[in-house]
Amino acid sequence: MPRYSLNIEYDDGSTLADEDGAEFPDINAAIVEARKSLKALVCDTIDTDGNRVATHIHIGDGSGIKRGVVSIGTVTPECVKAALKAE
Amino acid sequence: MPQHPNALLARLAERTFCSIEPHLKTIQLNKGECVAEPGQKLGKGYFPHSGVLSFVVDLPGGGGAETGVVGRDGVFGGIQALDHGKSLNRVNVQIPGESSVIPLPQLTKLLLENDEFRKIVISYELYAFARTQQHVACNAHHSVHQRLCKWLVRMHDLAGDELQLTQEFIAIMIGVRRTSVSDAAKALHQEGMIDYSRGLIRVKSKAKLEEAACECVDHIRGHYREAFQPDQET
Repeated sequence: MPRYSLNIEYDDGSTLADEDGAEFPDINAAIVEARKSLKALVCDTIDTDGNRVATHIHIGDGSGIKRGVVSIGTVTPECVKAALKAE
Repeated sequence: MPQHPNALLARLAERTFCSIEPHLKTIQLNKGECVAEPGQKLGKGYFPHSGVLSFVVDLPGGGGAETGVVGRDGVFGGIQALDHGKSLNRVNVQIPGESSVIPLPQLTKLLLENDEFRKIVISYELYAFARTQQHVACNAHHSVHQRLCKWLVRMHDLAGDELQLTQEFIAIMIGVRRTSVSDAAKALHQEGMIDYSRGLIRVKSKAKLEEAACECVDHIRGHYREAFQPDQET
């Protein structure tokens, strides 16, 4: 199975390279995992009153070429976005 | 008391140990080796000298989580020897090492014949049950950061400073996604607690890890002490 890396980008501009990577059947499976991972990271930040939040996960393939990106906007439910806007 | 690398066997009175020792055989625990599958009848009971066995519950829909570990402070197969002999979980060698083993039918016989041996094994199994209950509460209430610290302290207790573990494996162990482990591990590295490079964690400050971990570390250690020294704790 091909290996993909899920590299994290935070709101302060810092990044965390995924040295290990993980095997996925294809790029779509890696994107699904990236979406679930970003949701979990955002929840971790809320849970701990963290001072920075992951905003993107960049998906790279085995040779380091960027194959996709998932952003916080695409994993945030519409009702949450609407509530934030209304606040 | 006998000198033995497994803490349970080392707790036995010399006379009791002498009756068990002829049945012990030392084997290697190889990394990743599966020593039991759910529902599988066990061939032997394990009293690790070093290394770590990990109990994992796999979910049919994918993913899974560790529910416990056994190292040199415990036994795997003790309660099975007193019951139907089947494993409840998948059990893998997480960190390689050595273990004393006893064929399960022989272990059953020894446990039934020897009150002291049986009492020590049951005390350990009660501790393991209490520890699992603590983990359930911990997973519901404590952050990934705290849980990772707790888990690293436990691994350090069993296996020392250098831990050959990938983030993927740790994610299964604490029941979170791999990127959550990467994120938490980066923070621990920045705070001078660990070094991490592909598949190898080096604990730099156990004291800091203990400080950053949830109170479950102390509770679990307390359960172990109580299991074996009930009179001193009450």
